[in-house]
Amino acid sequence: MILPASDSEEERTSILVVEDEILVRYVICDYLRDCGFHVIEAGTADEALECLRSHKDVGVVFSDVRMPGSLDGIGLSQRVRLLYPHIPVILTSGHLLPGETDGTPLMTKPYVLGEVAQKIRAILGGAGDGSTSNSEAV
Amino acid sequence: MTNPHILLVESDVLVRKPLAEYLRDCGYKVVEALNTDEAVEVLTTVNAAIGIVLADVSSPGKIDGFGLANWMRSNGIEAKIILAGTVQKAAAKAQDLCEDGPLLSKPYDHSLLLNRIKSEVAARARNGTPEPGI
Repeated sequence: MILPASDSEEERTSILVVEDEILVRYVICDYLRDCGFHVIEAGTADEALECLRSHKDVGVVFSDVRMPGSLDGIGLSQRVRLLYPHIPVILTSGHLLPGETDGTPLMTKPYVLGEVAQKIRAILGGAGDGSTSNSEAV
Repeated sequence: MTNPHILLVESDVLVRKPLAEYLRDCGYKVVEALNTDEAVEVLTTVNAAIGIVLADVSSPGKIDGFGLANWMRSNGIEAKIILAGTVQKAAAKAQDLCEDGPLLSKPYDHSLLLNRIKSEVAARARNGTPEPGI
């Protein structure tokens, strides 16, 4: 069972998930929604930037690194830092190691769904207890 | 009972996002696909969960919306497919789905949904990015 998030901050804040692999995107977005987050999906960094322009309540960007389009995840995180310095970015990759992401926090793939939610809660400031029992890796 | 899943195929994120949120507000689980290639991948992998496919006729990918309908038919995919040629039609179809949907209600009229999409797309056009056919 996945426990719904109780933190009202999560209801006000959107998580922008950027992932070009649809099945991975679907699983992580569905999970985060079940946790109570409002989730926006983007398949490329270009789409993510469109969402950031039109959606003012994005609290965290969770992005893959290797993606098609004009920017990869590292380029996106640099752009977000420049244009939206108040929005933290978490990168995820199966190829990079922490320290190779220009200072942006990295979750290595395969990641555990519950740990992603926990990390997002911690970043949003409502650290909570990360009380999700689903430990499926994506 | 598990809510029916809708596979939404729409390449423009400023159209897809509000449509998906509207359908979720109606109680559906929504899988968002950017193009027909992604739609085929979803239907091949999680076919059983998808009850309805709502697709733009001119979706990008190796095939368009009509091609997706043909592919579904020839591959025995039983999900109902709804093709929409314009954003207005997509919004109206979304409202129809909400009226038949799991909550038997719609969160708001589809004209408000359409206005929301139009204002986001207009804001993008003001920033110099071309507008899709609305």
